[in-house]
Amino acid sequence: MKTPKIFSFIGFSFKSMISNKRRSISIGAGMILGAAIFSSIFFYGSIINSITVQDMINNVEAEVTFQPVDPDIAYTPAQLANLMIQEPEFQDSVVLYGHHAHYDKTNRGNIYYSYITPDFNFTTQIGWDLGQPVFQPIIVDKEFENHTIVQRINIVAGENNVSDFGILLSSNQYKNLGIQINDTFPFTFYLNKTVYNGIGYDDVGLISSSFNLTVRGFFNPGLLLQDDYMLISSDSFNSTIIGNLTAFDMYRLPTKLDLTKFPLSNLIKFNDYITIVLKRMEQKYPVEGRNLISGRLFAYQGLIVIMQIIDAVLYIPAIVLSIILINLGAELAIRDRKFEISVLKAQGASPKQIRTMIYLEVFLIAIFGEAIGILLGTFGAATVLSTYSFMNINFQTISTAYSALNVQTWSVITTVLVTLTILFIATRKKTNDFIQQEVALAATVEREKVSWFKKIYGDVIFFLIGLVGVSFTIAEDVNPNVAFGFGVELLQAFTPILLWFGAAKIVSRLSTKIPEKLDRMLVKIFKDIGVLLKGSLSRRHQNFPRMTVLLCLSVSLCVFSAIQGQTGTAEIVRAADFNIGGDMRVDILAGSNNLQISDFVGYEDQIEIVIPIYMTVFYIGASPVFCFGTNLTAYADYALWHTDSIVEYSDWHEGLKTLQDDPLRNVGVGVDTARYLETQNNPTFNFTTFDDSIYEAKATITVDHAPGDIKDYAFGAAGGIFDFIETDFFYTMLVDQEFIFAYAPFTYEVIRAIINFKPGIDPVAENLSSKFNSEFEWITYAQTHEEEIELIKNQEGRRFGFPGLLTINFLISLLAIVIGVSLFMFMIINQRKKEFAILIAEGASRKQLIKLVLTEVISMAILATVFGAFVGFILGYQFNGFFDNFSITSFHRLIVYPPFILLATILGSFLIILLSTLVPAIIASRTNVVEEMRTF
Amino acid sequence: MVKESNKFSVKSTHLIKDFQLPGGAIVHVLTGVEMEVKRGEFIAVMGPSGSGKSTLLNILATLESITEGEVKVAGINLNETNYKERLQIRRTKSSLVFQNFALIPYLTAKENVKLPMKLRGLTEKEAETKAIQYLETVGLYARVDHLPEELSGGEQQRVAIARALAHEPDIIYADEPTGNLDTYTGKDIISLFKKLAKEKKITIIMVTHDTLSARETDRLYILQKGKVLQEQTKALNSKKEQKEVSQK
Repeated sequence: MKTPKIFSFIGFSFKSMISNKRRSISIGAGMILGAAIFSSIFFYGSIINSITVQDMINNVEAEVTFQPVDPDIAYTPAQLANLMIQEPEFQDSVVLYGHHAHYDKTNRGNIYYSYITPDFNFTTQIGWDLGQPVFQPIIVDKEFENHTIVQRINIVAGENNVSDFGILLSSNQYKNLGIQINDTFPFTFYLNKTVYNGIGYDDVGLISSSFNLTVRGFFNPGLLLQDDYMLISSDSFNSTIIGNLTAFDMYRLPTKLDLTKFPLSNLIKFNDYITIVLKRMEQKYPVEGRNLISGRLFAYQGLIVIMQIIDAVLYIPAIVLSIILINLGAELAIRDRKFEISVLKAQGASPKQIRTMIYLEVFLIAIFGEAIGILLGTFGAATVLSTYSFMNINFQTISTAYSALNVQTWSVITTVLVTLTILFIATRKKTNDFIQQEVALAATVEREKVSWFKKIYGDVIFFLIGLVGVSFTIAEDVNPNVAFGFGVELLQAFTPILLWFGAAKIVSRLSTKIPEKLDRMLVKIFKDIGVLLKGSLSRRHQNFPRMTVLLCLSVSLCVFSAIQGQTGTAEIVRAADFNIGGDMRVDILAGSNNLQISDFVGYEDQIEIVIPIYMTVFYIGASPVFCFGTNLTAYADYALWHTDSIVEYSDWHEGLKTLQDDPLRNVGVGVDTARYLETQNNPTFNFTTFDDSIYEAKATITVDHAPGDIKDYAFGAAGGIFDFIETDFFYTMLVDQEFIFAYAPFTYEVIRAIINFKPGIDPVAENLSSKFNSEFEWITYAQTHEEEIELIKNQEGRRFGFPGLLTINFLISLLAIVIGVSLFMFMIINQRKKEFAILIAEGASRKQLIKLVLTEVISMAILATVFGAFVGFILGYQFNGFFDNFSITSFHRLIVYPPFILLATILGSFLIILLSTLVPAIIASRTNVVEEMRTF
Repeated sequence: MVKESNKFSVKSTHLIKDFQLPGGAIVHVLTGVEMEVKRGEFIAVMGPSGSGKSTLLNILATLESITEGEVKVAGINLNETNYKERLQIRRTKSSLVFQNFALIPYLTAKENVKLPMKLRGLTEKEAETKAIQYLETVGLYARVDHLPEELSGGEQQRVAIARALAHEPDIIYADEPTGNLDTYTGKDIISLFKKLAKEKKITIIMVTHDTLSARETDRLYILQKGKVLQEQTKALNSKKEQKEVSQK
């Protein structure tokens, strides 16, 4: 017997596809959403790499550096730098003299080095004991002063100008040494060599030069510039010094890469490519190349892994929804063909032939669905990216975000493969079920098999274990000192999945039981269709459980996203409150011990109050304690506080009062400080002042955080991207200003001030922060509350792209509801056309039919919404700890349950379920009676 | 809704019904049907497949529109009715009985009968009492709480007739009501129709292929190519007549 080839069915498949539009749409819709979800996940996920690299590179002046290796080098430093710029992979290169210590192999290991020291005693300058600093000279070749690498140096105060004996110092120097902008100090430059004398080494001074240098600005230390670096122009030195530095190869060429030439989406490859380019340069020129960013790249690789884990966790619900939808679409479509399969069997079609026909048709529809879905997914990911920037990369338009998406072939192929596999598995299972059943049974209702998992109440067990995990979290929140150990942490990590899975299965179990009870109520309300409802609902369609699960999961995801989205938004405001403390914050250059409104010359009329924050350092044993003091009365009345800022005080005013009761003894301590000093059990402790006197203080309150950056410090961590990993801390204290004046009369300074403006003054509209920055040299930083919110939103607040991910989840959930319900109801209505035809023939009006269809969904929608909202609340709470780990603030992340938004979300989800039923219901009410009766 | 004289239950004048096929071609299904049926008459409509019998029934039952001509049902001119009025006709003036009973499978016999009454707004109590009465009328008092699948074909058709009665109609349209039944049971159903026509003065218009059933009616219309070919004013009694009709 001749076996027909696969493609001989293609015509049949096409015809079936086109003539059964509703069926094709149901498969296609599932695939479109599935492909859209997966592709957006892949595209959004794959951009993490390139965005992360961009984020890092944005803060780097130069990624590589070269230094000469040939003692008799034929090129001048400037010639070498200009040659580097000609290379296709490089964008810019500059010459910096001085810093590099040259090891002279030809002269028995002589080492040349240079440094700059102050010609005055810094202890007199700042008032407390400090070793004399030694600066590393970074001498910029005059020819390269205007190059982008130099211009990219991150200046935090003053200006990027080293002409006329100007210098730039690290921002930490003004804090540590009390140096201010425009201060002029005498310094001496030394060029020495260490000479090997046969036994050991002798230091020999070669050149020294003294000059007065003026501080023009402060930079943020980074890869190129470190804390002890001093940036000077080559103009400040005579030609002999520069000539010697050149002769001893004491210069280097920091070089910026042209990133368009590098594979940014893969950090390992990016790093490898840098190495290749460096090696090529070493072959070509007498230089040795060094990758400045390799260490950071590997650190970022770790960060990317963390981000991908976060993404994966947040995407699990969306993926589950898409799998359910693809499954549902396929199953409903195949169920629709039950009769057709029976006819084909009766006509002698073999199972293989039936499968071929169905697979081919499903495949053809799926390909169309994939194409649309991937387009939508790409568009969706770009839209989310442009709406919510990721890290500190801000995509202004959808097209910019789209071009940054870096759509790769593998992403498309993976999307297609994953979605097609899910579809194939669903199609295969259902097709086989129908092929195996007897032809005569085709019209009967399939019986649902009860799984062993359901029999042993696995769903309830999972859910209860999840609730145990939540109770552990509650216990931890109530008592922060409780530690349950690894087992509980593991349980807490799996709690969301246990809850979600358990809830889904419980809802599936209840989907036929609870609605029946609800139906009895509905029957009483809708009397005219009550008799129908009673019957049709009690014989609930077998897909109702799955549909209820889909809706429950979608609603829970909506509620969860709403809670965590709002918590995240509130967190940004809380962070701004904390960072700024009032209408505006100003940071003051070291050395000032007083600040008042009259200091803001020209703006006195606009300022209502200035609250200076004083800082000094005491010691508890050998450890320093950062002590912040202020006028607590003004602070309590004007600063922005949070309800949870003082531990165990719901009203923080009362907490502050305890300090004011005895301002020279009572102090507030940071949370970790309290824990380490055990102030809960023994509130008194001794501290040592600058003059080695020892006093007793009493910790009357524990301060979680307070405006003016008063909190427990992260210290010793990598900083920046690793802020969330705290490895150590400074002790911290919050005190009344009298405390500081009394115990540190000579060693305190105003580090910051909170400014509130008079009513009617809009500091943003009047651009006051920028005016303060430029007009008052003693201000190193000024920022308004509103500007801070924007800054946090653009940078820290969007770290890991949480808002984007939550929005994607929210939208996917809503789409899943709309598509899921529509698909489901379309297919149900398709199967019940004859029933609707009878009803119309018996006198049912269109309104009555629409009401009937909507009512049938109501009980399912109520169950799904109520249970989904409940699960969403628990997930929102449980996930708070997870988000807290990656929070923008170091203080406790306060979960927010926004009543109106949640009400709108829950009611909205319910209404969307009903609205999604409306179109199928209208179609049902317009059933063509004659057509249906003809096929009876 | 214009109500005219009650002389005829159903009257069609030069009734034309055309269908347009997807390709654009026009099919003339009814080409000028003239028909007059008096109140309480039990008539049969016969004819070969494609002669337009079911289309005629659907038009009379307000399920299909008219292309041309005029149809009056219970004195109401269908040409002048809107959706709501047609719905009202279906609810209170006429009802349908189908070949395969068309019962809602998940409703009991009583609930199926209650259905049209509930749809038109009767209270639960009224509907319940009347449903039992109608089921008594068709001889199914003992089976009121049975689902359709628990009833025989004849019993299911009786439930369908009881449901038709629940409309309290002037006219019952029956589309091959005995087509799915054995001869004995079919005869039983025809007797029921006769009884309803005689005792309750309900007009019964029955489309059928079965000459044995047709001969039990008061009059017979034979359709061919969308027109009334022949109208017999008395029932077919002789085997010869039955044969003639069958051949037509």
